[in-house]
Formats: sequence, structure tokens, C-alpha cells
Amino acid sequence: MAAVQASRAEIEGDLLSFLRPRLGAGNGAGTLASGEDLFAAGLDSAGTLELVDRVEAMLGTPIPMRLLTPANFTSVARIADLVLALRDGGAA
Amino acid sequence: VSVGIAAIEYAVPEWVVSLEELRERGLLESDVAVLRRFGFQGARVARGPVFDLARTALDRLLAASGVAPHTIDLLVSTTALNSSVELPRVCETASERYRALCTSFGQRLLSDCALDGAVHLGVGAVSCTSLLAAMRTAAALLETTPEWSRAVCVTADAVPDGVAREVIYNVVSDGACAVLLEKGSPRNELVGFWQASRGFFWDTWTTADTLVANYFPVSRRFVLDGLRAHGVRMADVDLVLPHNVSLSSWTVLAKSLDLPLEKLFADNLGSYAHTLSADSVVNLRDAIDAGRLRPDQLALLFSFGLGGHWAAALVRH
Repeated sequence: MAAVQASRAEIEGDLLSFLRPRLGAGNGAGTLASGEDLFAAGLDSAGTLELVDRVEAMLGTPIPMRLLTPANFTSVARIADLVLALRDGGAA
Repeated sequence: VSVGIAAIEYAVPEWVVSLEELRERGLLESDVAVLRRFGFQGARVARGPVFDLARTALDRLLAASGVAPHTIDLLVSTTALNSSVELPRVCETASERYRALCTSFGQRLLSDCALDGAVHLGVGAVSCTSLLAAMRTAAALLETTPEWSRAVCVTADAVPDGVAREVIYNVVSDGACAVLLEKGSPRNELVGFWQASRGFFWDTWTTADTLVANYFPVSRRFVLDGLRAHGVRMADVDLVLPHNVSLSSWTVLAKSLDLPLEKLFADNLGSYAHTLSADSVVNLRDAIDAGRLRPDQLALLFSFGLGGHWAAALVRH
């Protein structure tokens, strides 16, 4: 999904669909919530790498190094903040 | 003004303590089989003071290069561990303890090795990226100080008794490395340095899990951004000189960088393990000796330090 026209709900939905199976929440029908701490939910190094790839594909551009921080990836909601800020040219 | 690496020498202790013994002594957290699978065979352990390792590396550098000590303009000393600046004697009074706080192993190197014409400064607080940071500092000072032509960087570390020899699945050894930088060196031109700091990870007690999760994406971005800033593509790099952390970790990072494992110099991982800040430069030396770099080929030195430090250097052999 490209983030160009997507709403926050669509971005969060895409990320949750991507993450739920990987975090063992069960075939896309799990209970992972957008505000939930992803690292506490079991996001590991390989999973983070996949997640970054997913977000960069969504944006169509690499995430700047200064924004590749744990704080920006701690939850789906925070990632959506980052995506929207980068898409709209703001500083996340 | 181009600056290059004219010589590299290092010192690692002969004594190798097996993974089994380290585990038995409570110095490893992980199972021996896991660490062996990650490429480690044991740890090099110094029997004497860490200063002796630094002194040995510098003595070897001066002997091998044939450079007269008094012609060295700058010494940059560094350690990865705060504890590696050890005291030459036991302090018994408050006054002696104050004097101890002013003790510098670099100053002692100046004295013992007769670097009488050198200015000394120390680079610290950047953990296992210390040597690359020291080299970056020295190269920049050489480039901007017309009257200086030659600098030496020395790093040395030894893990104190009773301190763990494993950090996040990596086995830690003692070791030292000395590097001679010269203006106009005919080989090993320093094409560029770059560093990144993530203060979030300063608290190494509580951020280890998050660090593990973030290490790969941040490292990949760090490498690719730095290469791009220097007009270099990953495919242009002929050899990567890594810090000696687990082969499993490097396999993941190499894959994410589209780096074929044949371009990763991992020969020293088993025999030396992770000598803290010396690894990538020691690997450069041994890769050159092994004929892994031909003239004009490009090498990438990479290091990461606990606490959130990344450093890299590009060297044109």
C-alpha cells in the first residue's frame, strides 16, 4: 500500500495486518492494537528489519537515519505518525 | 590533503580461555554450543596490565614502519572500556587517589616510547567505535594542521577479572592496536569516515532488547546513508572489515545490505573474538596480509559500540 493518499486508519490497518501474524497474534485476526508496545509484544531484530522495509515501501523512499529510532517504532500508532509526517513533509 | 594508513600493528594475548572454562567461571550467559555456532572458539585473556598490550602494539608499529618516534606529531589514545585506564600503583591516600584521576595511559606511551615531539589527546566515551573515532580525529587534525604530517592512534582494552566475557551473544577478548596515519601515504587512503550516535541506548542495563531489535535497520541505514554521502554504492565496496561480532549477526546484516558473504572478512572471528574497538582495523591489516585487497580496491570498516555508537570508514587500498 502506498501512503500517498492513505488515511491514518488505512496505514494503521495495513501495518496491523502485516504485524499480527508475525507477532503470533494469529493469522491476521489477533488482538494487537495500534497503541500496543511492539517490542513488548515480541518484535525482534528480523521483524523490525521487515517492518522498516514495509514502511519504506509504503513511503516509496528510505526513512532518514535520524528518524530510525526505537521511539518511532514502538507502536503502530507511532509508525503511522512517522509515515504521515514524512509524507506531509513534517518533522516526525 | 589526503591522509592514509601507513602501518597497522596489534597485540592480542597468547592465552586463549575456552568457552567451556569461561562458562564454568560464570563469565558467559549463553550456552557454549550457541556461541560456537556463532563462530566463537574462546577469549584471548591478558595476564598482565592492559598498558603492556598498548605498549607492545606501539613498539611493533614503530619497529615495522621504521618511523623515528620523535617525528610523530600527534598521538591519539583511546579505550573502549572506562576500566582500561588502569593505575600504575595502589593509592593509599586521598592525595594519591586524586593524582590517580589524572593518570593517562597515552601520556605514559609518549614517555615510554619516546614520542617526544607529539601532542597527545584522548578520544573516549564511544565504546567499541573508539579506534575509528580516534582515526577520524587524527585524520582531520592532520588535514587541517599544515605543520603536522604523521599521527599514531592507539587503542587497548582488557576486561577486568570477574567481568563477563560475553555481551549480547558475542565473546569478548583483550587486545590492542596501533595505527600510523600519514599525509600523502601511497596506500590505504582514508576516503571518508562517518559516525552515528543514538543516545536512547545510553542505559545499557535496560535497553538491550530494544537495541537488538533496532540494530539491523539502524546499521543498514547507517551504512547505506554513509556510502551514498561518499558517492559509493554497496556494490563498489570490495571488502568489508567488520567488528568481530557473531557470524549469525553479520549474516543478517550482510543480507540486508546485499553484501555477498565472500566480501566479508570474518577470518579472525574464531581466533580473536571481539577485541572491542580494535577489530575492524586488525581485520584490515590481516586482510591485506592475506592478499584479500588489491591496489585501489575499496574497503569498508564498520564498528558498533554498546551504548548506541556506530562508526565506519572507507579506505582505498
